[in-house]
Amino acid sequence: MEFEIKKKRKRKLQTLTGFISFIIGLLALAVLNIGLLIETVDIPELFLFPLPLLGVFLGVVGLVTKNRSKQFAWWGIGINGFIPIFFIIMMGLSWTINAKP
Amino acid sequence: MSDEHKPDQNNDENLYKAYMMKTKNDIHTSPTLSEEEQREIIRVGSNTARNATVMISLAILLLILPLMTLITYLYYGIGGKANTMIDVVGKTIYVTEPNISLEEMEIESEIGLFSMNVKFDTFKRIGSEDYLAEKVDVYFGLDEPKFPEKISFLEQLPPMGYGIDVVKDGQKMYHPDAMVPFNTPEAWDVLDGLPDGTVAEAYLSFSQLINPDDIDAFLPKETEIRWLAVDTGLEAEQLDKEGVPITPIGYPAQVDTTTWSPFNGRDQTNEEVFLDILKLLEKNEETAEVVSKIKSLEIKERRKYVEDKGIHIYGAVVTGPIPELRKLEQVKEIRAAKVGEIKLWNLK
Amino acid sequence: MQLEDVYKHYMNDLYRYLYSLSKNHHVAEDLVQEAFYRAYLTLADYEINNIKAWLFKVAYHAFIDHQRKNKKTILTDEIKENVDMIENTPESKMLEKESFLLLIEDLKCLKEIEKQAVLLCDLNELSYQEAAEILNIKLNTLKSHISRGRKKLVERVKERMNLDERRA
Repeated sequence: MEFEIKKKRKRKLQTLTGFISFIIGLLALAVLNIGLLIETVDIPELFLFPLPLLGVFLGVVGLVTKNRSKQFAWWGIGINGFIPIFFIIMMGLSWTINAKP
Repeated sequence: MSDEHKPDQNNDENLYKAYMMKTKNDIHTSPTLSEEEQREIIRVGSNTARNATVMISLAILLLILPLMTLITYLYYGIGGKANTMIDVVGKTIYVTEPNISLEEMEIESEIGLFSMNVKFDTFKRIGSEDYLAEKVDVYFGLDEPKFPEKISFLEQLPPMGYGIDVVKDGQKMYHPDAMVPFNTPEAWDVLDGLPDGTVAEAYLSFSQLINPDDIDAFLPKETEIRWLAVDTGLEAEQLDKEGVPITPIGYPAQVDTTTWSPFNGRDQTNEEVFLDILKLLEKNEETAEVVSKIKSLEIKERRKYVEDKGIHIYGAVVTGPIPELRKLEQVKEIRAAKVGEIKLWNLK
Repeated sequence: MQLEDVYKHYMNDLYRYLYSLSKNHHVAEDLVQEAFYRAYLTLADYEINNIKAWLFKVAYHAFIDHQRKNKKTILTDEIKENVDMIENTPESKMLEKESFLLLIEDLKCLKEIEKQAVLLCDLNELSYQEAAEILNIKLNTLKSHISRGRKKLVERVKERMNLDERRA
């Protein structure tokens, strides 16, 4: 019985939260790419802020989980952090370029 | 080495060998991973590695476009680079194209990957109305402009191509000391042939240099001066130092009350704005040359000349009803004229 | 499939190597898992000539990373380790004086780097050159570590022999 539980625990290299964080990041990034490719400013806000923030949170949880590789969690945090920062910088720059009142 | 020591060393070596040998021989009794555990390790390892490879590759691929977009925006945004470029494009039009204005508020900039398109419409005043003259699209690769793509809405199409002869073909105003390549009587014939109920623009060349303020005095009352061609020292020869042809530069004669026009007459007269624009174009001469399609603007030399000698006019674009324009034939200060765009009556 | 067979062939060697370093069955197993994960990650990109030495290198790095991550917990691990060796190992059926465990015991009196050198060269039969590359040290440095390690081990073996003789 105890042996079974141990086995399950051991057979995971990456944390589940880190994995989910990474997946969320990829999803949001894909939507962002589509938005850039069709040149729309109308990217659903869900993919710009709430979802990446959830991803960052899950990534951080993944980081503090002990004795697992933190690779996926780092990727998740990286991508999910990048998206809102990217969007805010872009907004700021678009505002200054060829500004019209 | 003493004799005693050597056998001792040999003994140690043998002892160590035996010790290691025994360990290696007994190794099968030592802790091992079962066949099942091994399979599981391989399975999980390869699966996770595959997942990681796929996901990381995907992430890198998906980061390419956002990162390049971000770099492009940073490039154009930092230091107001794009804004300067847009400014230069608009102001180049004002000083190199006679009787052409644009709506500053309607200038559009589209930023792509490492490139920007500046798009805007230009207008010509004929009679008392502004007509759409051209739709212009200037492509910048980073800060390198390409020749603008223009769609013309004018009756008289601008000369096509970029050659020296082509530039000369389009020129309609000449310095008093320069030879005029066309027949002025043709212009009077054209005006005589036009019905009274039409309006037109006329390009006038004067027989001597004039102060901008003195022009009104000899022009018919119902005409409006649109653009003034300024003597910059090169117009008599029409060549720059290297022998490359130059074309007229000048500035709008009227104040444009639109807030965003540089010639809005609020803080500066049009003459002062003209000199400021020359200073701006001096710093961005290559862009200005490509945008105007003029091979040589020679801005620095011409600006200095104008600053030293003051602004003197050798030509002007006027617009008004045909009967008024016919009166220009009698004005002795005008030595050459050419008729530009013609529209139906639009005066009140 | 071929790659799998190669991996399986060396898996127990790696496991024993990591076991002698960590002295904990679970940690060793986790590290084997980690090492093979890393092996799979990189092998897609490279042609590896000497797969055995390369696998040991991966395992060595997995262990070093593990050690770095768990610096704080090492103390408690060491207290547990004796118990772990006798009781906690699922394969605890083995004989009390099993020679591999004896070696692990003996290795305790060696410095970390000497232990590595002995384990890689003498137990796992890697060449000096390969071991030096794995540990990222000069060949001469490795040789001096290994001779010092051997000397210490021989001392231990002698001591034990004397003890046995006296007992007998």
